[in-house]
Amino acid sequence: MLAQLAEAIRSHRPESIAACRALAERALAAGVPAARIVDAALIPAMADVGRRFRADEIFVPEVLVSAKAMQGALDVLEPALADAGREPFATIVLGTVQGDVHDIGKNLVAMMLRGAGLRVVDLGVNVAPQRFVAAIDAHRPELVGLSALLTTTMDAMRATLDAIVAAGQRDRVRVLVGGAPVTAAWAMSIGADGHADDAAEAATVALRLLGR
Amino acid sequence: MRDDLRHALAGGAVLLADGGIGTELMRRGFRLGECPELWNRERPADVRAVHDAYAAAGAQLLTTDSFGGHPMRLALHGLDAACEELNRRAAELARGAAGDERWVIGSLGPCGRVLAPLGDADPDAVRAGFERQARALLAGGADLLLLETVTALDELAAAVAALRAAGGSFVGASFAFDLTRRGEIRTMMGVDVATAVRAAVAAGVDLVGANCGRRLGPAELAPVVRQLADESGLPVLVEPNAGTPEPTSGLHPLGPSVFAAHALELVAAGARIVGGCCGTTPEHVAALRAALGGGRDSRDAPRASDR
Repeated sequence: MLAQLAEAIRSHRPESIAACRALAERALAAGVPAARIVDAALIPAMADVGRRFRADEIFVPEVLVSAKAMQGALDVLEPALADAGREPFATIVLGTVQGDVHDIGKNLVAMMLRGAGLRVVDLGVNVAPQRFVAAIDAHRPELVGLSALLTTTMDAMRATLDAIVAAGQRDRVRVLVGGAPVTAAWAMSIGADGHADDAAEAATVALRLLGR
Repeated sequence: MRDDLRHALAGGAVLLADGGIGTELMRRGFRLGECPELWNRERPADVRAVHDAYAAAGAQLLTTDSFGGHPMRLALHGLDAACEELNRRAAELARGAAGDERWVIGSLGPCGRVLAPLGDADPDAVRAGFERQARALLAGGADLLLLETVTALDELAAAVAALRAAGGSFVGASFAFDLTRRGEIRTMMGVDVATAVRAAVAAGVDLVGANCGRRLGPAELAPVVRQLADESGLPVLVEPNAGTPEPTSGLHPLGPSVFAAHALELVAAGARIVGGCCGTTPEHVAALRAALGGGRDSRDAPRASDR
C-alpha cells in the first residue's frame, strides 16, 4: 500500500490527487502509523520527484500535480500525526525577497518543506527585509528561506541578511537561499548558511541545517 | 506607415524592435520593489526618455512599459484597480515617442499565477484581466499586442481569446524557452518548440516569437527561430536578452557588437522582427541597426528576399 501511495505521488497524473487521499486513508485504516506513511511513502516519493525535476526530466506542471497529491495525503494524515505527538519539529519563515514577485518556485519549496515535516510561515512575495526581521521575532523560526528569480533582486537577499544581522537575530536562525540565479558561491559570499538549486534540494538542505 | 505592419511583414521586410525596458528603467533609478508600470504615472518623462532613446537608435517598433500590467500582477503592488490607467498611459508614452513613423508593441507578460486546475488562478479571471489590459493598451495607441515570455499553454489560449475580444487585430505570442540540463529546448512549464507553435497557431495568433529565456541567448536561438518560422508559417519575432547574466554580478555579458552579430544570425534564420530583451540597451539596438544596414525607415531595411 505504501509503495502504491509513493507510486501515485510519483506518477503526477491528475487522477492521482484523489487516489493519494484514498490510499492514505486505507493505510491508516489498516493500522499503519501515520509517521511511517510519511517517512516510507511521501518523503521518498517527493525526493524522487525533486530529483527528476532537477534533471529537467519533468517540469513545473508535473511537480505541482505530485505536490498536490502529497499534500492531499498529508491532509489525511495530519490529525493522526498530531495524535501521535509528531508536531512539526521546526519552523521556517519563507519568502521571495523585496523587488521580486515570483512565487511558483517558492511555493514548491513551501510544499516540499511541509512534506518534510516543517511548519512553514510563508510571507509571500516582494518581502522587505524588515518584514523578515519582524517575522523572525514573531514566529521564532529555526530557519529562514529567501527566494529570488531575478538577477536584479539577488542584492535584496544580501540586504535581508544584513537586516537580520543588524537586528541581532543572526545567531538564532540558519539562512537558506535559492532561486534560478543563486549559486553556492553567491550564497557563501552573502553569508548564507545553505543554498539549494530546487525545491527538493531545499528540503534536503533544510533538514541538514537542522541536524537531521 | 503604421497601418501596414502586416503588409510590411508580408513584403519581406526585416524590422528592428527596441531593447530591454526594465533594465533601462533601472539605469534611470528604478528601485527594487517598485512597480515598473507605475512609472507610466509617476515618472512618465523617464519612460518617454527610454522610448526616445530606442527610437533615436533606430528601433522601428517601440514596446510599452506594461509587461507586468495584468491586474493580477499589479495586485501585488495594490494597483489592480489602476490597470486601465497604467496600461493606457504606457501605450500613450510609447505612442508619443513612436509618432506615425514607428509601431507600438503593447507588451503583456504572464499573469504570474498558475491556472486551475493545475494551479489556483481562476482561468476566467485570468482571461478577463488580459482583456482589461489589452483594451487599455489599444486605447492608448498600441498597434499590436504581444504576449511576452509565454510559458504555459492554458494561459496562452486564455490570453489570445482575451486580446481578440478586446479588439486586438494583430496579436503575437513570444515564448520564453530555456535550454534544459538534458539539452532540450522547453519553457519552464515543459513545453517544447513544436508544441508551442501548434498551440499558438491553434489559438490564432498573427506572429510567433521567442524572448528572454534561461541559458538560451542570442548565440543559441537560431535553431529556435528556424523552427518557429518553418512550423508556424507566420512572421517570427525574436528578442534575446544580452546573454545569461553573470551569477555573481547580475550583469548581462554581451555587448552591443557581439549581440548585433548574433542577431544577424537570427535574421538569417528567418526572424522578421528582431530586438532585445533584458540587458539590451539603445547601444545594442544602434549596433543592430548598423549591422542591418543603416536606414531607419522600413522601406530601407533589408528584405528577406535580399539575403
